[in-house]
Amino acid sequence: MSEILKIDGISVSYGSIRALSDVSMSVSEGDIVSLIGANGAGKSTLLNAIVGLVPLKEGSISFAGETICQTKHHGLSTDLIARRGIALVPEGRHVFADMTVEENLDMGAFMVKDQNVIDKRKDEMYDFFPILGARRKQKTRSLSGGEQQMMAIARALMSSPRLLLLDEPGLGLAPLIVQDIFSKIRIINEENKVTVFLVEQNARLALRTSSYGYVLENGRIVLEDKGENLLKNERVQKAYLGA
Amino acid sequence: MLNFFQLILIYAGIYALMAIGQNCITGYTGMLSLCHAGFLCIGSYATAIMCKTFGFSFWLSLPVAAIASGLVGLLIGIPTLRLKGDYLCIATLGLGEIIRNVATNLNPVGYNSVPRANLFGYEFASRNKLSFIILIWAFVLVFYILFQQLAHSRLGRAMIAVREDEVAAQSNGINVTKYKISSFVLGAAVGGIAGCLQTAYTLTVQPGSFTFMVSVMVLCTVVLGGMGNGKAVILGAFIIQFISYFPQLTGLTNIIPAQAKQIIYGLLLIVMMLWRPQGLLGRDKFRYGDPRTRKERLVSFFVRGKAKGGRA
Repeated sequence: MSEILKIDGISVSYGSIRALSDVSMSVSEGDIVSLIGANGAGKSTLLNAIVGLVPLKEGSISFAGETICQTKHHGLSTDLIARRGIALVPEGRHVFADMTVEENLDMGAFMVKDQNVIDKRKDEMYDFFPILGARRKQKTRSLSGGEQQMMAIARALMSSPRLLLLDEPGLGLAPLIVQDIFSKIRIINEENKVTVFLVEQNARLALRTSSYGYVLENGRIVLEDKGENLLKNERVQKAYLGA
Repeated sequence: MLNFFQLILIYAGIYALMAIGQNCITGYTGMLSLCHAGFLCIGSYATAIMCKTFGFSFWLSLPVAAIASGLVGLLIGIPTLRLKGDYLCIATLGLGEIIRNVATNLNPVGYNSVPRANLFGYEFASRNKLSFIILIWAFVLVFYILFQQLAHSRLGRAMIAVREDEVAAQSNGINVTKYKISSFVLGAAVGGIAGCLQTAYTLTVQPGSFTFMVSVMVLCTVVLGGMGNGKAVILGAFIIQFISYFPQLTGLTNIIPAQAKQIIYGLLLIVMMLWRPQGLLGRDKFRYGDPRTRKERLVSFFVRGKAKGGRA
């Protein structure tokens, strides 16, 4: 499989605080790759760096062979990165709360010009997430947390991205709903051929879902391996799986 | 008395136009800007200079006023619109004052006896207020329709997305800076047109009439009516002008000092924020897929006030 996302020795600082140092990783096309780590390890910072929301101090990020992020503002802006085919589902979902579900999906298809394509994709999303179809005319504010998360994922899929970045899709949701969302993520990956890179605190579920995993601690990658191997790894078991 | 009502109608029209511009900036895109007096000033000066110095007609100076104002909005918008919330508010406050000071230094006494506006040989004389009411409200109507269309367009949707959530907007491929600047420039241009119309009516331009208070009044108009609601800001313009001319209207100028209205605006803002932060009419129900019938919407329009909790 070809490499779709390549992160090459990046560092990110917030003022004098170093959030990421010398992080390198790669995501192959068609895979589900997960990044696990504790609170404050820099997981969200890494995702935000990929889409250009935070500037890099060192290193570079390339997507499908094109450099998208570089130091000193040489990278692309977030909207242009989104146009290259990377869709981020931000932490805490960031839905347009005062818009209806349908309008949110319309916004997700902002880059798509053809109304027929938009309508077709919306129907696909309503099929895939039936609850969204039932609530299409409701304000997103009135949706439950799990429904909002599904809507955020559906909105990201409206632009038919090549790479889907998920920032803690299970955050603050009931275990059953988290299971449901992860099974949807697997289907998206298999059927729609979307590469998925997800960041998650729920290490067991994340590693079971993914083919490859990285462990981030204090802004550094400390481990990387196939998902199943990481699940067996003693250090991972101790720190993240509570074994 | 009739005279006064006509005067209120004229100024309500001018403020309604400015409020339409401010609404584009603050209501749709969610940027707190406080420099509409500056845009009004540029529009007024552009009109006066074009008409007096270069002998332009009113109709020719109208686009000049809009473009000049929009251009200043663009130049100032590019560096300042990266700022958020209160910071943007302070930066634009400074801009408004800069424009007024430049105007004062340019020509401290302003311009007098600007040539009158003409339409097919009909001359708009300040004495004939009715003709101005028609002229100004025709402009209000045109810009109301234009901006209603805008709100439903791709551009308007992008602006509203920026207001709702910048991170989400960016992640969906919306260039936040571009839409913020577009919105600011459009709002500024409408402010310039309002200035042009005001000059056509008063035929004089004085730097003293573009103070910070004007910007506050315009913002008040939008907040009072309802941010992001085209009809509401026009209603707001009426109310604000009525309050503004209340002492003269009732003949109580001896009892109510002129400064009282500033206190009233302030109180009004506080009261609105406490009890009805969404404005009198609330946010525009711009719903392209609204399943309700016209009647249902009308009913909900009257009962909404109680049912819906306020949100700033």
